[in-house]
Amino acid sequence: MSARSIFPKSFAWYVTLGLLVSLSVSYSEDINVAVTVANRTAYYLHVTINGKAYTNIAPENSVNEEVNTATVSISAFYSPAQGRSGSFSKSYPTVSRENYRRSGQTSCNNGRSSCTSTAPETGTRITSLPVRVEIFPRDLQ
Amino acid sequence: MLNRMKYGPALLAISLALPNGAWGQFEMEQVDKEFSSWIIGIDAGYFQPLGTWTDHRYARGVDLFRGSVAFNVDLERRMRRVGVALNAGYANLNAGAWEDYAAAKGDRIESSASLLHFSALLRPYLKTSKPDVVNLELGVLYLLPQSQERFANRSYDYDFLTRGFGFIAGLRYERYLNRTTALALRISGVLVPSGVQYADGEKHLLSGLPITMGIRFEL
Repeated sequence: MSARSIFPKSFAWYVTLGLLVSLSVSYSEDINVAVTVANRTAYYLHVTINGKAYTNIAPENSVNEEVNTATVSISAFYSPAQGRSGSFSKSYPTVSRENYRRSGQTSCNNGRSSCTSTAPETGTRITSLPVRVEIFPRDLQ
Repeated sequence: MLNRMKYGPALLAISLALPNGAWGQFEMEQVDKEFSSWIIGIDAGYFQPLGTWTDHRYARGVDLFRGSVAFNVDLERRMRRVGVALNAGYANLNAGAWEDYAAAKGDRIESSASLLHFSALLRPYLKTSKPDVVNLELGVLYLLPQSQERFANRSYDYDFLTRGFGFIAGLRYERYLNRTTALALRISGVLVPSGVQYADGEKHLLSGLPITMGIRFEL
């Protein structure tokens, strides 16, 4: 029995398509998302993004970072010795996931016996959500 | 042997004065051969930071860091009048002034910082006649800062002290006590262009002056 009879052409097509879809999904998981944290107070702030600390961020300045996690946790507090106390902590999603399904199509040329068809397709579409957080005095409780 | 060491420079001068002289060439090779060796050195002293990178960013007039102890160890291959060395250095940074300032403002903080660096050095010898030996040193270094501040039950690194390549240049005087052991005095300058970078963009050149004394052994 030949390989061709075990794996019909249409089956191979489905397998190839499935692999391409799964590859595109896994590639999307590695996406880097831009995160910006801006200091909108009149004091210096210490900011952490996913646990990494950025110290002494000046008023009206911002920190830019890229993360590859599905959510990003951001915290901030007044840098020491400024006579201020208060902190901020919040998590934000960095990606949106949307399931999709496309039905297959078959089209035949008039007057010919051959037809072409596309397989039905399902998957998850992942898009990045850049995060920008502005920290005002009221956020630092 | 001692006579050859004692008269080495004179023999060298004479040999250099003799154009194409085989005798002169032979004597020069003898002196050079004697001066070629493996050397291990250990130094300790003081690291003096230079420039604005040690100023606290918002506490005006307060030093975030001040100088403190420095240590150095190096392995050198000396060949004729040039040495090639691998060097590891450590300098502590004193953050006491910043801690005191914060305490006066009512905040208790504990701060510590240090600079570790590894360098590859070229050492041209200006004077090779023992017991007094003088050399320059020029090289590249890789800086690995370490730091931590504890404040209000939080602990974090000073992210603005960043890893990076820099340059080192210095002068060393060695006084040989015997054939293989020498005391050494070394002063050098360290420059790391990207040594201090705050996350919001402000940058400073990290520079300092390690002044150390130590002992060197020819292996």
